[in-house]
Amino acid sequence: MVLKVYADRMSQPSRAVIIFCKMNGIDYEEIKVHISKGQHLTSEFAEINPMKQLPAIVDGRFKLFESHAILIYLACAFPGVADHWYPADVSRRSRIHSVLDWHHSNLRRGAAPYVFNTTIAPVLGRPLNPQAAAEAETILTSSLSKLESIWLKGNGRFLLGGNQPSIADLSLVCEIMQLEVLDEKDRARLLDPHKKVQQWIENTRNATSPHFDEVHKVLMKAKEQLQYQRLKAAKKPLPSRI
Amino acid sequence: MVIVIIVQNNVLAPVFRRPFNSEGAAEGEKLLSAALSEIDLVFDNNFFDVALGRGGSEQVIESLQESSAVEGEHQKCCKASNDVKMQAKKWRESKKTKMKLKVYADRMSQPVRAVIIFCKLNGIEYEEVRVDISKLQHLTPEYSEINPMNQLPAIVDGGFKLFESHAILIYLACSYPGIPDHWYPADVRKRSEIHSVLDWHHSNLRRGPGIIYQNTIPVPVLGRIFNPEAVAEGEKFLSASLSKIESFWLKDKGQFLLGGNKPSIADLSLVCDIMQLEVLDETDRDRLLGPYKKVEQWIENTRSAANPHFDEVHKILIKAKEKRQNLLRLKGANNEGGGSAMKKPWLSRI
Repeated sequence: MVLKVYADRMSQPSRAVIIFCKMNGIDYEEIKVHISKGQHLTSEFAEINPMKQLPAIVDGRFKLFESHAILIYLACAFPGVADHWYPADVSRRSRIHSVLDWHHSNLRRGAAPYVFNTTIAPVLGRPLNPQAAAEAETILTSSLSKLESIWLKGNGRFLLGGNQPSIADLSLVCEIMQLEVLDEKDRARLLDPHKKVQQWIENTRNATSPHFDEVHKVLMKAKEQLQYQRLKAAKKPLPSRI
Repeated sequence: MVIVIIVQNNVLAPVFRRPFNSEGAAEGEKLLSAALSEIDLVFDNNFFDVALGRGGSEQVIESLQESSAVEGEHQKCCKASNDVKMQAKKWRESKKTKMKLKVYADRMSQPVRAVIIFCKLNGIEYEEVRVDISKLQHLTPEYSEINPMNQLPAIVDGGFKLFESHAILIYLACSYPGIPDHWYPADVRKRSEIHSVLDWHHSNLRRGPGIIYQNTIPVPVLGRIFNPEAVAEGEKFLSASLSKIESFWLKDKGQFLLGGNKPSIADLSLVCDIMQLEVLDETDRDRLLGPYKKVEQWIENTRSAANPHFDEVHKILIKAKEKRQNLLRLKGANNEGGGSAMKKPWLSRI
């Protein structure tokens, strides 16, 4: 029975899991669960993940949710996954756990609500929330600073001074990619001060090419649509949509 | 050997029905005589003198010197080997002190308590380095060297530094010998389920008791004031999380999360978080936890499995609660009303 990955490619952690599978030749069936259509809230999906969140996997009869737990499971359970993704060495592995845990309470706590409360909410029929956005922005800017000065300290191309990507790089970069749907000026204001972060995003993208771009196409399409709407609302000239 | 030849050919021959062999005996005598001369030579040349460093014949000296040289080398090797052994022993002893695990801790912090209890339960030798959050010691440059995120807990194991309590618990479970498998199973699927709870915890339960506590108990130096809105937000997360623990994480038969009959690091981490509610009024605590019978039983199961260390490490919460109640009494508030007489929180049972 082939691995099933329940995913919406608009979801940052879903993308991380899918890219990981593709990079490592893990055979899987992608089952699309559209958040914008409320499909994650159905009783059918609750059977897969009672927390009603994405991603989730079913491997034979084994069900699992939470993307970091999934990435670790896949790295350990499937053959041929290169060591750099989730090293066998206990100390190196622990440092990756440390980043992944930090991510939950920091980058993810900042980036996701910021994007939601400034941009995505109306698409899901919810109002924008400037106060929540402001709180999230504080956490986001602090997290980007810490990435720049702590996690990317040293000469490595990836987090923790690594020269090859780990599951932590994949998870965190997919999170930051969500900022693509923001207004261009907003995105530049948040990311421009952080040169190492920008280079690291590029390094991760290159290391996981061509899958990275292919999996992010959905996001880029959403970005285009949102940009179009902004220009329309501002009564500015619209780009050709051929 | 020559003595045997002489005796056989002179004395014992008839016993073995052999004729006396005078020629054989004479040959033996010649050999014996030569051997005895050799011995004389050695003694005449003060063999022992040479051996004791008092001079002697050149031949003997040379041969003894050769064997001395060999002996010398051997002695040198033994000495070197002993030196190395001594150095290694000294290094190990010095490293033992330096290499002793350090746990940077403030027991008012929920994840700190989880790490300390885990160490005590598993006989992991450690030095608890107190970092008082209420005195802002976690914000000093010295502590930033340990954890640049300025949070607790953190550990230093030899030259290895680590922060984030779940990462620490996993590291300790994997690095120290003799830790029972149930804390962090080797089985990939069981382990993954534990990761799943721990990750869920970050975004759910962790945003409950801690937030309620921080926004109920004022700590001016940390900028903490009574903030009813934040408390309400914390209570929302807490209720939703406790509901999920009751209905999902504790749904299977078993005393612990995920249907386990023995605790894992997930049980320890989550229960320590919920324990923060013990500092509140009993009425509030009962209101928040009362609806969740499985959760209450699970807390008690984890406490029993982790005692006496669980109670000892949580004593700091008793003191914090007493201090708070005294302060409120001074302000004239009545903190002892309400709640069921049958249901006593664990703190009063110690």
